[in-house]
Amino acid sequence: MEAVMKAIIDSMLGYWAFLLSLSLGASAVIYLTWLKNVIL
Amino acid sequence: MFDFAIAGVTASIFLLMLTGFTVGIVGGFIGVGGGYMVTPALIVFGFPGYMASGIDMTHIAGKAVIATVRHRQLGNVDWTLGLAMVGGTMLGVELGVRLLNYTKLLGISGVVLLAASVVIMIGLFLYTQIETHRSHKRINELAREGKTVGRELRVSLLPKFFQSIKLYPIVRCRVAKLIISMWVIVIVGFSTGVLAGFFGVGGGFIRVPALVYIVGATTHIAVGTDLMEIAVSGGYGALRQSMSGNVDMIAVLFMIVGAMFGAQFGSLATSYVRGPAIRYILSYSLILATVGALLRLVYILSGGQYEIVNFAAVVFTLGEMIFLCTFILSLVFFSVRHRRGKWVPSWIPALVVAE
Repeated sequence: MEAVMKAIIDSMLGYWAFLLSLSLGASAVIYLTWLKNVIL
Repeated sequence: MFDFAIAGVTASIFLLMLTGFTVGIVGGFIGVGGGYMVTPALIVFGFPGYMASGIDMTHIAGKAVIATVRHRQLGNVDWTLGLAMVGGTMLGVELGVRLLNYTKLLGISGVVLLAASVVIMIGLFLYTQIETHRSHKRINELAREGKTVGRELRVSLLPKFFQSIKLYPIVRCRVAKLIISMWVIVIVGFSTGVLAGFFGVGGGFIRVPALVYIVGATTHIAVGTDLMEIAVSGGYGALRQSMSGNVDMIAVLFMIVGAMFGAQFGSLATSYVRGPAIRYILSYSLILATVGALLRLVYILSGGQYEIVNFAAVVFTLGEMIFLCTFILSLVFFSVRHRRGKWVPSWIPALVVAE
């Protein structure tokens, strides 16, 4: 697992894609579980 | 939750502070106000569009002052360069607003705005990305040859051309270490001001590349000087917006509480990285903002039919802020690790400052 992660983030494009997916995923989770209820 | 009486909205204080904090980090790092991220986010939070714009502009002015103070301490603000640009920028903004009103009269403002913003942002993204990638490669080559590389390296030849223009008066920008015709600086300020006034933004995402690739300032100085400029033009914009009743000061104050910490951190983070790292983040923010704007436009043009597109636009708007913030934090993290001799990705050493 560690080797796979290192391989992904060792490439700039891989790191970019990984971080963007994580950010969009986090954003979707935050919106669906919390933000949607907070916005009136 | 807090009842913002002037905006007529109930919103989360924590959300406003968090937004101010994250956009503060990004703005302090790449020298932008962040309006293209904050205004859509405030609209998502329930603020009406005109209020979102007014609150955003006012908070940007406050945040820019904080970031400028920090950048000045880091030696990144050239007052000669900044003040020479301010006059041109203010004139340009006025003309840009009038151009926008003219296209509104013709009934084509929406189409023109979108087409122009997409073309300019994609153009800027491509040029910045290609030039920064070449600079990144060059730094790697120099490092392999055992040569010392400073904080900045640019491969673009444009600055040399514009610095060779001998139109008097010629100014000496001591901090930026430039000798250049004042007309170049004023015209750059005027042109970027027209674009900023037309798009209704602070203009940092246009001015920082212009300062780097046309005037020839280093990226760090372009960021610091641009933030000083935003503090002035943003202050004027905030005044005009509040005169029009578009500002809820309580909402602004909550955002500035977050921005107070975010902008300081973002500004400090620039001292851990080289110029190309800042330009990379700037180019990413351009392309992500373009995608977010296109998604929002598709939703509006479809008459609000496809909720999935609205969901995608909201997720993208928030995800963009998280992505940029996390990338900046990770650059600082890797910079510290690199200084301590620990493992970092192979593309990091060329982008961070070794000591």
